[in-house]
Amino acid sequence: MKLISYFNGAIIPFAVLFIVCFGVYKKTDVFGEFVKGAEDGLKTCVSILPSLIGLICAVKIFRLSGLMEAAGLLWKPLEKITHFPSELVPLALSKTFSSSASAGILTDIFQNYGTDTYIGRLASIMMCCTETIFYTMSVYFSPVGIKDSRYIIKCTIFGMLCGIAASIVLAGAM
Amino acid sequence: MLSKIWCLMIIFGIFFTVINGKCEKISSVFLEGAAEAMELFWVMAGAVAFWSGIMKIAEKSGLIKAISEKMRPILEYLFPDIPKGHKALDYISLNIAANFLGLGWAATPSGIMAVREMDKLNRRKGRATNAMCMFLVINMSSVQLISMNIISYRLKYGSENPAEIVLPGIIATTVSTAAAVWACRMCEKVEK
Repeated sequence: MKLISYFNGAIIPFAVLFIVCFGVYKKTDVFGEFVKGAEDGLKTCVSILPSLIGLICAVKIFRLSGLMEAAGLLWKPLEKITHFPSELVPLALSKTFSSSASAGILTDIFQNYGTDTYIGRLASIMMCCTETIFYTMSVYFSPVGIKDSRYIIKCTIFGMLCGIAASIVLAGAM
Repeated sequence: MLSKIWCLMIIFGIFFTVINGKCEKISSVFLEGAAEAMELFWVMAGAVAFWSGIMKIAEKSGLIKAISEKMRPILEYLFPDIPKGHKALDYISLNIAANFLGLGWAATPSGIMAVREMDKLNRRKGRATNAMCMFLVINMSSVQLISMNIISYRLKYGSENPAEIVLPGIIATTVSTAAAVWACRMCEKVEK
């Protein structure tokens, strides 16, 4: 555990240090390039902002409506066959919209069912393989104005379902 | 597609909130959402600007070229439509590497630049190319080495062994990525 958090904490400082040193070594105008890049980054953020506002508002109203909990209730009869508890349905659904929304649901699950139970473990593993589909799409596609995303959502949801199936097997084996 | 989903979320969201009798909360929820987006924007703007700056150094010094050279066999398999040595491949490899290490904020600017470069090769503007689809699919189902957030939540809620989910997590996300890439390949062939 200590080693993991140490390693994780070291990644960012190491990456920055390495990139800057490499730049100096190659005689790049380090700070000048940094400023240019940061300016581009800010411009990009501004171009994302409108879609960010729209998306977050939609996620908020969707959560308030209680539809995700209703989806959980609909899943109830399938619980036994799939070994997928209906309590986790809102978690999986909300993760496709935003990771901050799903973080709240995850901590609720830990509080109610514990972290070292089947549900707690399954929720943890699942969080590693479910994706924030809609957020990612709007962040990457709105700056270049892509409207037709073709088969992306289909494929990602298929991958996510496979990942969830794998999580069920893995959590069951722990 | 995103536009349809957005409309559905708003329409169903309002409709069912009214049915649930929480009508009075609707107007405040929109304002809260907008304010939350602004808060996220400030955090994001700082982080993305910083990492874009660092990435620019890496780009100019030739470091990114070196990384994408190392990843060339995988990239050639995944993105056959992008010509060799194209800038898009550099950004893609940077994005994959950043995601793998869990540097989410560093992944965002490189991902946006990758899509921008890929759009230069796009003959039908407004429609995602095969390469863009593959990139987004990989990005969304990205394999991450350690999900530190989840471990820290587990620690906070009294787990005996918070890091026990690391390996199963890696396996699960590898399965999801592999499945998504496979599905993407199939769709590419069907939908020309």
